[in-house]
Amino acid sequence: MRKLLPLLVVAFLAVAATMQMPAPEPITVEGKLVDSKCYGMATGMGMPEAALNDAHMVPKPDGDGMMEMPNCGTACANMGIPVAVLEGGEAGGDVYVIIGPAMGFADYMADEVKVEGEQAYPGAIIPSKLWVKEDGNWVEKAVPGTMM
Amino acid sequence: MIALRKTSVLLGAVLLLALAACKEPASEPEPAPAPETAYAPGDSIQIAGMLVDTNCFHLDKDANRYNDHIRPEGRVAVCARVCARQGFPVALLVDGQPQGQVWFLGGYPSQLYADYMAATVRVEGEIRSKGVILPSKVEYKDGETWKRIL
Repeated sequence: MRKLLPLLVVAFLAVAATMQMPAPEPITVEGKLVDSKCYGMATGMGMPEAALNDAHMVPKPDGDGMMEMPNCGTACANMGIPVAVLEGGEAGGDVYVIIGPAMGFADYMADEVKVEGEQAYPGAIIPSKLWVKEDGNWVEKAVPGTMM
Repeated sequence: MIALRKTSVLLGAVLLLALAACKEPASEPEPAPAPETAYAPGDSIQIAGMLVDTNCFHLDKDANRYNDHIRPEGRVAVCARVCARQGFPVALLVDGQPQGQVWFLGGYPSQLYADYMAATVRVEGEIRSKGVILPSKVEYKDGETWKRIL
């Protein structure tokens, strides 16, 4: 009986742990990779289409109109600004923040992407698989992960 | 043979007990889930809570509110700071409670928050999409004083 006790405790804890940990919901999102700063700001200004490409329309420094900022999405991601998938790729679609190191996604900004993963939070996805559309075909890419 | 039967019965009873205990936590009810936000994109918002690293928080919502994290590979010291420095999105956990609502802080490099992970913060900004804030002001609590991060 004494030998059995640790086994019983382990069994109890294992079952309890399994029951209490809600599994994140599996999800696949397809759309355009955007940066959360410019797309968010452009949406706030009522012109989300200004941040759908890698070059973004931004206010001129003197405040007199707008100017095009080349490679803005790539630059933002490289700075560590969270990236997101704009579902459907059209302005107004649902936005899913990618739980991953933003810099790892910099090369795919404004590309059409498909991300498979888990939805651990509303409006966010933990990626386990990533595809990028190249010449009309989905090409699987390594998911940028932690560098620890 | 009899001993084996007893063992099986005992194991079965323990497993049933465990299942029952998990399904009906009568003595200690689960905290109520965070209410669904009534905010819509474009709304202004002011919230307070704790800065968390979204890469690890969901793995253990109690322990991983802090800087050291419990991960599948074991305990990782200053994990939250490292994750933020690597560019993983940072979020505000409302009231710092494990079941609190999680708001992503979009629009600024995660590295900006790295030194303030697990700190008590208050944020002003606008909601940009489901669960995402574009902050205009972020402050952390240093003793009795609020100091500006952004």
